[in-house]
Amino acid sequence: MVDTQLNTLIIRLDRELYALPSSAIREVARYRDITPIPGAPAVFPGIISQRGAIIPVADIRPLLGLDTPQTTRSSRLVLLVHEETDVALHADAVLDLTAIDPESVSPAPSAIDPSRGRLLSGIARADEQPVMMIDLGAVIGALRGVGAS
Amino acid sequence: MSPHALIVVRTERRRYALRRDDVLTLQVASDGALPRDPDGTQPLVAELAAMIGSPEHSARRRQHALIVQLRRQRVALLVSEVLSFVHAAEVAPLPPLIAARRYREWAIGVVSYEGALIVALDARVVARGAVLARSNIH
Repeated sequence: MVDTQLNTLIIRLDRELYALPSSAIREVARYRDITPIPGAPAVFPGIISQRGAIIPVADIRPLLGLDTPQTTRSSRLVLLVHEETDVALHADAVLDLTAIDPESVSPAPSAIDPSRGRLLSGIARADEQPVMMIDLGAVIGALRGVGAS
Repeated sequence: MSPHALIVVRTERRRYALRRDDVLTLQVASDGALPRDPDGTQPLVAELAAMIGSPEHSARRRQHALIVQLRRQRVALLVSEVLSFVHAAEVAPLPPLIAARRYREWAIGVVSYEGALIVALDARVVARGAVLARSNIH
């Protein structure tokens, strides 16, 4: 029997829940001191060293039109890879690994800001709460487009 | 990237590395002032942190100045402290995702120093920025 569920990691950004495809996730790490890179745009707060590799940290909250609350004890770095691009995504919290039924995913509402909507593949529900499905390819594409000369 | 001789410095909040080849000499600055050269000229003085967009400001009366010789001008980049001289250290390139998206190319890479990553700066690019900022003011 083919598993048709969407395996996701649910994270919180500001006050909203987002789902990342779990197949892209390498590791979840506690938030720690980040080395800022002078001259880098704000969506890249810096870099970390993870097992000898230098990984860029991305904060996609501004891309999603969200506030950027200070880091807390719940803050995490979600290390993921997409098409050979490694990135550590800032999350205000990591909640759970959840299998989402694709049938329950509906398109992002047309009323949503297009700049935000293009980063989402839809909206689902998990534990009776709305969860925004992140389109990782679109997010990486948006990060590649930030500040490009 | 090949190994570089580096100077490791500290501003109020951060540590940075600079290539020794980019720094002509080191001086002590009191209240941001440097002694005049024998020819009577004085370098343009700028705080390193301020020149790379960091909001920090040093209230120290005694700072260290990294003197950078540009073609027509010497620039003194002020830091809180000179921490060490590293004979040869590998400067790792910045991750491509960040490197291609910088709005200023102050950083040339990163160095592992005392168990932490610190940014290696191009002192000449920073110094040129100081000259440009001064010329925009006047």
